[in-house]
Amino acid sequence: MKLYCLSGHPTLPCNVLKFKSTTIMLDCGLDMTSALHFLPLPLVHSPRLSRLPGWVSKDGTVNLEKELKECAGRLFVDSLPEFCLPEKELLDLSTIDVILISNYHCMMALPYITEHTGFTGTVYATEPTLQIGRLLMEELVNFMERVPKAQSATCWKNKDIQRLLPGPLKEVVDVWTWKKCYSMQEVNSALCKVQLVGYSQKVELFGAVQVTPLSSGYSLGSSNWIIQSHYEKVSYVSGSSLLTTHPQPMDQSSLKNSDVLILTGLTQIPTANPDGMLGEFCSNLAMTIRAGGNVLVPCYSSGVIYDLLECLHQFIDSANLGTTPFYFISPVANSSLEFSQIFAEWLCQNKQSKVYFPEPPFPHAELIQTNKLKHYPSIHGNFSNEFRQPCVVFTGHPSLRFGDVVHFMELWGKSSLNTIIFTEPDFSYLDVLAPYQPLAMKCVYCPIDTRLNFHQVSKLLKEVQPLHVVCPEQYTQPPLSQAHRADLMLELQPPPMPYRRCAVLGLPFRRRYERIQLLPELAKSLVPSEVKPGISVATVSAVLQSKDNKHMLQPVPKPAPAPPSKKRKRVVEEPPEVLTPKPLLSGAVPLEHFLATLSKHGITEVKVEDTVDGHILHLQAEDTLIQLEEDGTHIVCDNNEPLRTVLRDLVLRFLQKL
Amino acid sequence: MDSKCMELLPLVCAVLADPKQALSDDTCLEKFLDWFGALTAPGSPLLEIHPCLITFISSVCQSKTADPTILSFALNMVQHRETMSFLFKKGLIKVVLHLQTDKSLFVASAANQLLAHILNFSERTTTCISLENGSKSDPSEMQKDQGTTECPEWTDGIMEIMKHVEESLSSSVSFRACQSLKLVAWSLAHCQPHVREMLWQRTEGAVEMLLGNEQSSLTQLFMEVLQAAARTPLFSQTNSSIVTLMETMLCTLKPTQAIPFASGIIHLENCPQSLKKKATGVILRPLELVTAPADLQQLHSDLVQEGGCQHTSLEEHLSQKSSCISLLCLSLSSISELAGMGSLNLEMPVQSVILSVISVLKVCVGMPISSSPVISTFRNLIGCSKVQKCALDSLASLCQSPENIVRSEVFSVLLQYLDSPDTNSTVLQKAYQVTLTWLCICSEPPPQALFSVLMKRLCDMRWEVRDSSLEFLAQLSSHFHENLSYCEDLLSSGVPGLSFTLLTDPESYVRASAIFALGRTVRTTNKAGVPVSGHVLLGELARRFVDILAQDTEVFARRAVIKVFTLWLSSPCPTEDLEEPVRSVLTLGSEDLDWEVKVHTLELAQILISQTLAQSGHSTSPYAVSCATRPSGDHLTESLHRLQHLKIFSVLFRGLFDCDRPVAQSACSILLSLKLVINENTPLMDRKAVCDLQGQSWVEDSLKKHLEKLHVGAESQKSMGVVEVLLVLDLEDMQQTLGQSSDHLENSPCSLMEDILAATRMSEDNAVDCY
Repeated sequence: MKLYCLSGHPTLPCNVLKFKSTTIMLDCGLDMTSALHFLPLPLVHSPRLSRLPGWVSKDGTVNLEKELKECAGRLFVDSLPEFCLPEKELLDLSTIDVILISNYHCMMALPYITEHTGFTGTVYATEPTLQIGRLLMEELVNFMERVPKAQSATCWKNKDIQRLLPGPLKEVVDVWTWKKCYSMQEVNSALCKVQLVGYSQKVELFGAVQVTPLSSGYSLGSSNWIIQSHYEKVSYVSGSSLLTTHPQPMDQSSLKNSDVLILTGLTQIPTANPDGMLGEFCSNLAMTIRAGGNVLVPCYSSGVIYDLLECLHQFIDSANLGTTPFYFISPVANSSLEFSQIFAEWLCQNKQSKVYFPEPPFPHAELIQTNKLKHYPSIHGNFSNEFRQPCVVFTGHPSLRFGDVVHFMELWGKSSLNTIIFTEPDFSYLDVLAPYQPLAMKCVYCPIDTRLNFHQVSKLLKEVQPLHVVCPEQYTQPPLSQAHRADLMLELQPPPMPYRRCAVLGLPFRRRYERIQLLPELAKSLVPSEVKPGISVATVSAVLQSKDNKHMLQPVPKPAPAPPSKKRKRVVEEPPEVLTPKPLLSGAVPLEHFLATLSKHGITEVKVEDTVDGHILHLQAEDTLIQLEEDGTHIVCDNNEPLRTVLRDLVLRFLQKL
Repeated sequence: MDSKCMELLPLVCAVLADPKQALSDDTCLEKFLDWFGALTAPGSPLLEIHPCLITFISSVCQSKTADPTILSFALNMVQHRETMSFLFKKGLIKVVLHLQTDKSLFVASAANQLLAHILNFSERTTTCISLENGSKSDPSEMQKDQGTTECPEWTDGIMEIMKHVEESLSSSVSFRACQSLKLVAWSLAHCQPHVREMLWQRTEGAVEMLLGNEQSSLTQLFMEVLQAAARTPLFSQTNSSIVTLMETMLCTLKPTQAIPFASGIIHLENCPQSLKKKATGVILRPLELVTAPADLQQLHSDLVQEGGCQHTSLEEHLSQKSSCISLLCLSLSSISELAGMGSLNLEMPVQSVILSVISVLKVCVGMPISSSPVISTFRNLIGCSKVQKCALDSLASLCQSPENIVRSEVFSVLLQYLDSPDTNSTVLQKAYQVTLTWLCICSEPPPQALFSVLMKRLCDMRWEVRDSSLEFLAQLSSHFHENLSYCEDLLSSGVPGLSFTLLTDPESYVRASAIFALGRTVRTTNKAGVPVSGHVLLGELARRFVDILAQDTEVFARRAVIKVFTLWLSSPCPTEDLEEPVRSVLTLGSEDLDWEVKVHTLELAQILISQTLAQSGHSTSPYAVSCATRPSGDHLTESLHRLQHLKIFSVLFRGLFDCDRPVAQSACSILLSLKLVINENTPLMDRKAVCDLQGQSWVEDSLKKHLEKLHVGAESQKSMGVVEVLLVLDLEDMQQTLGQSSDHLENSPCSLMEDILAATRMSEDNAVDCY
């Protein structure tokens, strides 16, 4: 039972569990922070970006003017952004049987895994995960493909050159494994392999294990997974939330009695409380608009944006922002807003019940109806005709390296009246803003991460009591920036088993049993005898058949009746020889009674010696030893078979035969 | 007592003494008792005049079935001097001592109170043993010394009580000990020195013994007894065991009990320094343990153990969330008290206490502190608003003109609280108050960062936060309105503009606070030397406020408008821009549906009248500055014309006939003062000519009716001026009528007794009627 850790990112996990002859990949998150080393991709020509100076080494020997540009003292690669994939060398990805997806943020590397690696298995995910995951991938591909670059930069990756570069490019590892974004065709092909599952639906894998998705409360269709056999249970906890937001609440009780609980996807900002951040978001937004500025909110096209819009729906009127236009710009904006309204069964109870009124579950429908919220596929087309300022724009990508957000950064960055509010926690906002420096625009960081915090997770673990917890090593110490906060780490007994990228962990299991079934006719033939009240035992002779990870005891086939012997002998398969089993003995030999019995039979000179496991009786006259132990009795006498037989029968008197 | 009462009293006594008559409402007994208290003036032989009372008391005390409420009532009645001698003479002390442990708590407590009263009264009737010469107050000796006692039964009674107390304290029944401890605590606090000393001598040993037994149920009472004893001269006597007992208590009490006890000790007068120091240590220890680094804690606990105190339980308490919170809160609020008394300086440097409190505040929001607290501290305290509030209170009470380093620490943590998105709205409000306190003490204008925080908070989602931010802004502006740099910072921050948008906030409290805040800041920013650009002008704001008064559907905003006008007019700022708005405010305010708005409008009118009259040398207010020039009738006439122009008389007369009493009262008193001024100057002025009231709507309405009642003819009404109306109206009589409360008829002892009788006579017929 092993766990291969292909990603070191705690919230974008990719682990492979080898469990009872199955190979299960748990999530395949895509670490996009590598894109931050690249120059933003502007939708319209940006004079500022095109004027950035190229990089030449100080001594002039290395000239990478075309590949690397300098902005505010930092180097950026002028090429299509590339991503850091899960580790591919640790194990043969073609051997993976299934991939379990826990939420749409944790499947962005799927095409890299399922395509071109020889993968032939199945991917399991819930319907919202698949649909919204598809939207996010589609959006990503669209962002990349609509601004093609003539050439891609590769020289800088040369090890000899890379070490000459200034930080942080110099320190980046494994740049050769970075890959460009996949194509739409690859996305479609990958998503074809997805099989839909519902919460609590049990899926059998080769008869060996059963996997079950459970609601995790984090996003639409997000799940945790139970992977269990008859005697072992592994829980996989990925992004989960106990807060009351739009998704169905988290199913905690099904996680109980796990042998191993793999814990990933805790909040990335443990010090920021989502409620407080939401308040901060609203007040900064109102402050900017009242001062006549615009607000830019870089965000993903699904997820927290639903909660933001819901919160604004209430806030707009109370803050007198009724006339301010709100724009949501994304190639998939329309689908995202509409999808959210149709997945009623995946929503929290409160929203589900609205469907019966009938009312749309999310209030953004009303914002759209009243023209307060408008959505567009991109800044081109209708948007440019209807654009009014001051306004609030929600658009991607949160990395600020591609997508329509790049345009707004160029447009609004120069005025201190405008504000950019970061709500997605995936990227460091300082790194994200680096290629836009110097920036006059106000920046507000209010990351909203509804995933479990350390306080909640320790409560949860107390409740579900797994025997062992496996987690990313980041969770076993306080965050670097908050070294004094000893409360921001997992403290468990026994301590959690930490993992990092490329680690292979042997998982400890307490039990090693298999379930075997008896055929009814075999069961009928059993003769149970009671050894203790309520416990009966019986011996059984049978043939064990193992097929598809199921084990069955069948009666021993009777030897075929001897064929008429006149004909020429054929070579027939000999049936296994059936030996009548010797009866099994059980019980203990009581010393006092046994000595009395011996003396009745004339053996009186007995020296008793106590041992760790029982007694040794030395029959001095006969020069014989009887070792009485818990699980066996030995009679040691030299060439005195009659005596041995007598003694054996005396011992047998005290034992029960099966 | 009138004859009706004399007649009713025996009937009431009979009813109360009858155990079959149940009294459903015992509050009337309390009122009855109050009345008795008032009746029994010294020397009035109550019992002799009313023998029914004696019958009542003795029958109730000896009855086995008496209702506990009646019994306790009777016991309370007995606490009067004559009744007590009666008790002694009849040998009822034994009964009372027995009742001290009655199973009804009402009876037991009333009996205990009675015993305490007896001990207290004993001083006056006994010629007591002289204690100054150090003679031991042995009961037998005492008896010998009492040859001159007026009432020998009395001495016996006292001795009996003392003996009873002594026995009870060594009793194994904890309720007995408990009752006697209560009696001792009460008597120590209230009795005369001789009785007190005697009582303490007889109980001291027993108290010491009981303390050793560690009966936790009695701990609270021990503390009360010790604290009562410590407030007497017994405390400062040499060889007093009280100090030792208190020191033992400090060490053995549970931390949650020890802190309030320690706080009590520090409040004591003549408290020995060593004891005070120990008590301060107990109060500060939880704070030190939470904020001090681990190695220091070890050192500390070693020292503490050497000192004989076992405080391992303190660490245990601090590791548990709920007890950690309550301990810290106790410690912090005791520090506030100490700081309030100014006694902190003696015991330890305030600076380090301030730094400790700051550390707690930091821990509560997850900020790093210089020491490394135990892990559980963070877990227990992060986001705990209860501790945050207590710590902020302490910080406010510790406010003083400190060294720079402490000051910058204080402001940095306060700014963190004001800025943090997780600050709870009540905590935020406290943080604002503390910030204000410290800013005022330091008398330096607030830092720039405060304005950016204010900007954000004015846009907060929670109305409470917007409200308290505006309130803070108003207070800040009112304190710093003289400070030019504050005015400049305020203007450049954009805060006034943002506050202006809050005049349309959906929450009426916020609108009201925005009105106050702008009312204050506009005075600050409309000053000479402050650049005009970018700020709201007084005239413009005044017009806006008039609109609010006319249109806002909620009372808070409307009340605020009037108050702000009052503020503006009573300040020395130029008010030329205000004449027109003030006229509108007076009219709108007096026509408002809310009585408070109307009262505030009358206050505004009062100010205008005082100011106008002061200009002409007349004054309705004792505080008005008197004019140097000699007042003349012409000036007064002119002033009245001016008031008429502002429609103030309309406001006053409409108020006078308002259906809300406070409005009418207020209008009446203003008119009276005006009448006084006019009366003084009648010969000087032309009564007829001024202020024709023709065409005023109020004449047609209520005033007309009133004047008709006074037989003023319809013809003369038409031509009456203000002065005439004022002189015709009997304002004095109106004021008296308005001054009477509406229930003045219902509060008599006679009706009380009738009520008691009626309640007990509740016949079946009545009960049936109810259905």
